[in-house]
Amino acid sequence: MSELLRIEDFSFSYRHRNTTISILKKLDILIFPGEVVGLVGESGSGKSTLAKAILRIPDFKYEVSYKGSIYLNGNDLMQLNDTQLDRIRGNEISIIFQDPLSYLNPMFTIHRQIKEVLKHHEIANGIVADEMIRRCLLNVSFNYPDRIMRSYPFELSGGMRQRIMICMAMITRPKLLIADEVTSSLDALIEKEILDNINRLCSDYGTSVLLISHNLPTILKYANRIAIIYFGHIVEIVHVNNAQKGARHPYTKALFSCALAKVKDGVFPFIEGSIPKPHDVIVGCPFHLRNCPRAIDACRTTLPEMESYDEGSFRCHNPYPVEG
Amino acid sequence: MTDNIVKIRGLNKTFIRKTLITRHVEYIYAARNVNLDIPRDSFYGLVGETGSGKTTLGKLILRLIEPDSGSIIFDGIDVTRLSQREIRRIRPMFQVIFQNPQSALNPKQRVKQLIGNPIRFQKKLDSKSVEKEVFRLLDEVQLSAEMAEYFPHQLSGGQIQRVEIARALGLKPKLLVADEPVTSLDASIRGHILNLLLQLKKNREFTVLFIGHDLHIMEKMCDILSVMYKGEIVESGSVKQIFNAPTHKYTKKLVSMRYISD
Repeated sequence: MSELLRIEDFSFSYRHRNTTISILKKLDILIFPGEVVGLVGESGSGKSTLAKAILRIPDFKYEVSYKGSIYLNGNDLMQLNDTQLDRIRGNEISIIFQDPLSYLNPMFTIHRQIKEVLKHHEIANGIVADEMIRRCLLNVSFNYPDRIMRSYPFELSGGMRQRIMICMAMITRPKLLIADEVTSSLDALIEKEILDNINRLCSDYGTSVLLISHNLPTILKYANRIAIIYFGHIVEIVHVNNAQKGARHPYTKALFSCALAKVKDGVFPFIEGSIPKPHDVIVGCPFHLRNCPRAIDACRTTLPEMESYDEGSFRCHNPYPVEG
Repeated sequence: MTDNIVKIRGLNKTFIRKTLITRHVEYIYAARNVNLDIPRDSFYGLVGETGSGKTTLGKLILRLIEPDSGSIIFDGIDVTRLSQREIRRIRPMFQVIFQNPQSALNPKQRVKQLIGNPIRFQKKLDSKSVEKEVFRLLDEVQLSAEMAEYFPHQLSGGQIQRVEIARALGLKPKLLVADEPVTSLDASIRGHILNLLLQLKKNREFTVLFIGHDLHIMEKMCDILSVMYKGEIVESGSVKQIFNAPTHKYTKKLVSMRYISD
């Protein structure tokens, strides 16, 4: 099997006031070429941290430490220095964030902004670059690319800005696109438009996608496999066809019934308690603190190991049985 | 004739925005000839996308902003004609919970003050009975009594929203405007708040105007639904009617977008 990205035993932590706070704990994720992997979790579970940690984007205030390895086509990204990583960022792995306005330069026209990417990675220049930008803008459903190229970010609406970001990310034809909550601030109708655009472009270019969202219905619609993250642990990786019925981990089951608002006897499903804070120290499985329906004694003392089966993997002492 | 707690006739509100450099004047029609009847003791839903004017309509009903024209008749009183002094007297009858409770609550007050102060001011009770009322309300929204001493920043998103509900219900309102109360919450906690609202609605007598954009939730919460689009109410009807036989183009699109879970 030749996977595109292999995240292996990856941990991430930062130091704050002489205490080490670990955010991501021993993650293992595989992403195959052309695949869409969804990453779901509640706020504060470490989704965005993972997105930034893959590219080592240094916007953390504190001293940070990485452990483990991330292989892109066999090359360990963690061993690369900044110059080498710079060649990967935006070229082989692109990233789109939730709030496009803070990642677009307000003083540059859209044209100059996108051209910068092409110049930086020495892909194209001059008229060739202009033509590439025009074609790429058409690809993200702009009918009048010339007008868009002349405008500044503030002149565009939220959905349009996000499409500019897609254009910027995809113009280099990356191998992997990380989409970090790209549609969280947009309406349902525009959300569909944006995700359809990403989906179409990525399948055209054969790009894999790491689709990060807290909105499960969207993930279910676009992803091939879903990774569920809770308190910095990947608790389950499940195939999308199998996701609703075949989920083994109690947290996955609970999250699904909450997110899809499956009302039983007029009562909305919910999970007891609140999400643990990053600095909390939890012994055993972190989910037993939230009234896990299948908690046994072992859950309170030891963290379960990742167990694999043919269609996915999970981390639980007492998983739901396979439904026959 | 059904008994309507809120009757809105021909309501208009336009915002004017001047662009920074060119001084070009833009008109934003937040409410355009809105007619709305909210039956007493109903769970009334208001759906629409961002910028469609649903929050503005909510604020107009509460008279937090002044309408350009039209009338809002709340329980037989035309709210738009009252002076600020008179409106203060009837404010306890309509309360609101906002999307972002962290910014709606005073960060310098403890939970017991946040819930107790409105009761003290409006109902003129002595401090002992206010305190008793606070604990009763905390219990009603399923918060422990020790939370009374907490500040808003010590509470989680779900807890703080429950404080907000307790504060609103302490004044025994006839109308509760819930402006996207669960949008900022995680899916796992959202159910808790929605159940609480449904349960409170069952135990007490009041009307809820539930503003939201998640059709999935609206379908299960509300009795009657109105769809807003660009400042206009394009469609109103019972939830069944809207979901099974939408007539307006926009509603059809919205209903088709709804994720089908089974």
